[in-house]
Amino acid sequence: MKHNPSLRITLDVILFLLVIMGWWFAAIPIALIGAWVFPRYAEIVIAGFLYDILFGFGAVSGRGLLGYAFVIGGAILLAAIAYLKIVVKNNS
Amino acid sequence: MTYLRPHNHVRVRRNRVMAAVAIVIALAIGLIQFSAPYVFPTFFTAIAKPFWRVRLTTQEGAFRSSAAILAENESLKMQLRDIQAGYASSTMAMIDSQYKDILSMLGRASTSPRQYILGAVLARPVAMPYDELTIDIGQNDGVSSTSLVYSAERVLIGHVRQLLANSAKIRLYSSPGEAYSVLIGPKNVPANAIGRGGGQYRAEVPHGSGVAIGDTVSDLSLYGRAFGVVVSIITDPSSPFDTVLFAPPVNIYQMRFVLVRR
Repeated sequence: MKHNPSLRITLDVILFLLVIMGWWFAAIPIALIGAWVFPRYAEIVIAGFLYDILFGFGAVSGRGLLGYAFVIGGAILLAAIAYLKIVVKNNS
Repeated sequence: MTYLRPHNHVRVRRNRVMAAVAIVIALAIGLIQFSAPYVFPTFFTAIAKPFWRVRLTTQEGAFRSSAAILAENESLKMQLRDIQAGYASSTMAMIDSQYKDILSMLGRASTSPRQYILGAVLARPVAMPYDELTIDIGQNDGVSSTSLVYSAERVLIGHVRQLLANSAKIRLYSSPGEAYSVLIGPKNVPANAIGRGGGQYRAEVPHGSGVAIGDTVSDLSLYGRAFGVVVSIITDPSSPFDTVLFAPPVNIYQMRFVLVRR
């Protein structure tokens, strides 16, 4: 599963289409699955950045760091899942 | 004697190189975003626009049969004829005419026939409290960074926040933290409308100012329609102010088109 590039690309396409459509509530579960299944799933952070840019929460919207809520959230999710995977691996 | 190597140095080195590359890329993106904040929005909006257009045309029923579209066209033409016939003889036409006469006498008549530009709403954040829209017209169509945005019913709803060449991002006044001066009720009580998100506003008026549920809230311009309608008033006996909650008379989540004032 970890070395299945076609599955990863399919998941990426779905993720980015959901982000472009603004359906963040559907994109988050897909991103979580990707982060759990694949190693170094940096697409979460890229998708978060894309969402922040497309829907006006970037630097020009004047919300400070809140303007990058999705890219920061994506990085936190990625780190949290990586930690969780290590914990599960060590305990199994 | 042979020893096992404690680490796989090639793998460690590769991981370090990958981490360094990722950090450099992230720094470069951050630098570009903060020094030229329109570069990424312009690029990604251009990529996303075809997808948004497909969604818009699908929502508008572009994939219906030509027979159904022709039938609807005929029906709409008949309705338009009926409305025009009724409107010409109604008192609304007379009131409208008198209103225009008064504006003309006071030197405030509209001189330009094309004050507004029609824009289609391409995208909006779904299920988010931030009220922002992306429309399909931009600087090339005559929109400026100071343009105000109205609904199709001429209700003032927001302003241009980010102007790109062929699109613009609109921040609605109901977005959290946005403030706009309004007059409430028949006594024109001045107040500051604060956005609450989700197309809702709140304002504080002095206790006993006579504001009631159902009162209209107007902006300070001559041309705009009602800015909102009072839906609730929260009174706290210990406070000298009442909190007035109001909403615009149009549903911001169902808007297909907006009017952008030049």
